Amino acid sequence: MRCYRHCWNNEARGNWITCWVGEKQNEIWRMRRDGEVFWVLADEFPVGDFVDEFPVGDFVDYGRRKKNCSFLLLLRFYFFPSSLTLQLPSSRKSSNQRVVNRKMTQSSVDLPPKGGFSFDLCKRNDMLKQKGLKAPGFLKTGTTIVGLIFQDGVILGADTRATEGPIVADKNCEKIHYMAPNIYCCGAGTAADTEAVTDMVSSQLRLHRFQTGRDSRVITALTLLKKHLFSYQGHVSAALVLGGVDITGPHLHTIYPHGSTDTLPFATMGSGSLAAMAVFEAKYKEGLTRDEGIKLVAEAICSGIFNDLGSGSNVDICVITKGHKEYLRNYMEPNPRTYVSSKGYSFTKKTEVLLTKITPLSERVEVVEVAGEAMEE
Amino acid sequence: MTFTIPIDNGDAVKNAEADSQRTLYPYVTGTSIVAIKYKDGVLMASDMGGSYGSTLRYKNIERMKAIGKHSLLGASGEISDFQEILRYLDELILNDNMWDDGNSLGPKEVHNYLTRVMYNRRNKFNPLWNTLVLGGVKNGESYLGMVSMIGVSFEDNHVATGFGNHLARPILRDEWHADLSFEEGVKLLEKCMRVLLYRDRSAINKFQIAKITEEGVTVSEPYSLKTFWEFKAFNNPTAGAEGSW
Repeated sequence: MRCYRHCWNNEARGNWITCWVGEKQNEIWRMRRDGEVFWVLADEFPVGDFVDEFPVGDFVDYGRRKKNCSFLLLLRFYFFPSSLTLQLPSSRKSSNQRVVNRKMTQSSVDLPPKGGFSFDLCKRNDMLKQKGLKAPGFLKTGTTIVGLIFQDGVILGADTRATEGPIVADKNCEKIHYMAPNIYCCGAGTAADTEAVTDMVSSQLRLHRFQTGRDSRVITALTLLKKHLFSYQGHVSAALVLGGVDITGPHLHTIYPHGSTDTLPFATMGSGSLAAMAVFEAKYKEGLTRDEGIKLVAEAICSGIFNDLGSGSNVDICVITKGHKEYLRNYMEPNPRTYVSSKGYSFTKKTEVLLTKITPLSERVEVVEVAGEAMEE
Repeated sequence: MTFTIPIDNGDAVKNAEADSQRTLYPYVTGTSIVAIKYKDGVLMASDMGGSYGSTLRYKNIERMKAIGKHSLLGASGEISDFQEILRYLDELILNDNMWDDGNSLGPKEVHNYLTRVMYNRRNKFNPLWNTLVLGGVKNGESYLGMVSMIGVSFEDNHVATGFGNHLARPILRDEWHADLSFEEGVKLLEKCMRVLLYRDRSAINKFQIAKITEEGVTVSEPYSLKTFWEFKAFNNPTAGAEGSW
């Protein structure tokens, strides 16, 4: 089977590569990196021109060939007796080069421009929605997250409730994410978005630390997050409070889903942000000590927990100072389960046993050995 | 003799012309009101701004008025509807005085009257676009209640309307306790009003605080609160990162 067109997009970075494959023009086959093939859906797609041929086994990322990469795209595997090649439009070089497939119709296909956004899947998503597929709901955090700068550094705080509409999906989740040994980030909004974005930037910071040999700075994380969120125009619904202490001192920033940022002495985000901000505005002053700062952060989070329905359960706190950090998971648990009996359960008297008599079945029943029928192997 | 409850044209729903007389949106609005019960009675605070959409059009609106001998009414929301309510209450109190029987309407009664008015108007899809706070003291008992534009009414030890719901209520829940003295009460209210001043875009720095006790109602002169903007982080937010924002 020959692959006629590879549309690479964000999916190429993940485990899937969508290819237009097959003799029939309207088949779409999706291949996973480990080689398993799924036929996903049929749609009316014009067969594209294939322009470049990449040998079997090369890893493709955004259309660029990468050598010496640990991920090998194993295209020659059990499912395909014949070898498979991947073609990619050569938009990297020049979009004028096109080799037309003699078998198929000659239709020109729009190639995504270099860089920028890729909306390749929008048509397919619309089609799926028309056919009745309901998009899966996303898990929002419905949160109170806060940060404040005290005399030695930064204190971040968060509640621990994750909501899915009116239901509490996770009553003790972790909203303070690790970015670097000296930088932590609280996330509000869609849980997957905050996790993915902070994970991604954390990896990028690690690579950057390898390259520069220095500790990461908070504005580096800020700029990486800001760039990513802006390029997705607010669709990545992550509102973050980023705090850390680097060589230039303590920093605290808020980042909004559309990509704008603020630098503040104290900050709150999430559905409980107004309740927490009320506490901060009333009680914050400069030069707080560590204990005063922790007390104020805990008070602000409690204000969110008790006055906002989207926040609840426990208080997490993270204290970052120069060269040292403390992650106080479940620092305060103001919503314990009460009225749990310490004795456990005790059941009332069971049914009384009057008499026990055991009769082996072989006395009652005639057992016939069927000879010659050994178990099948 | 019964008190007249204002009824508007029953044909309003059918008559297209009368549609233009139904309240659809508020125009000139007042922002939040915060009120608490204290040892001697009730304290209520409001700012003096009237916004016309996003413009701060009027800066001298008194949104708290004494009603009769025993009560104080504060309103947030549409100012013209507030003035209409004051006219109704005026009539109510006048009729009450005409009885001349030594009894006077207390805060509970006025609150009940307002609840009926608001709920009836809402049922006709022509609401008075206000959230009202009614406080008063009669026969040594202090009373503090709230009515919203759809007729939701309740009484409590501390109330807040508008943005005060989100910003002032957490502070009041934490720090209110019974038998506050006058100074403590004023300090608590000022704390709430200061947070509202920082974080509510339609608030202005010109407040009135009103006090209702057994002796009567006093509304203070307008005054302003001190604010603090000298945080180091505000002075140079991009220290260590020239050119960022």
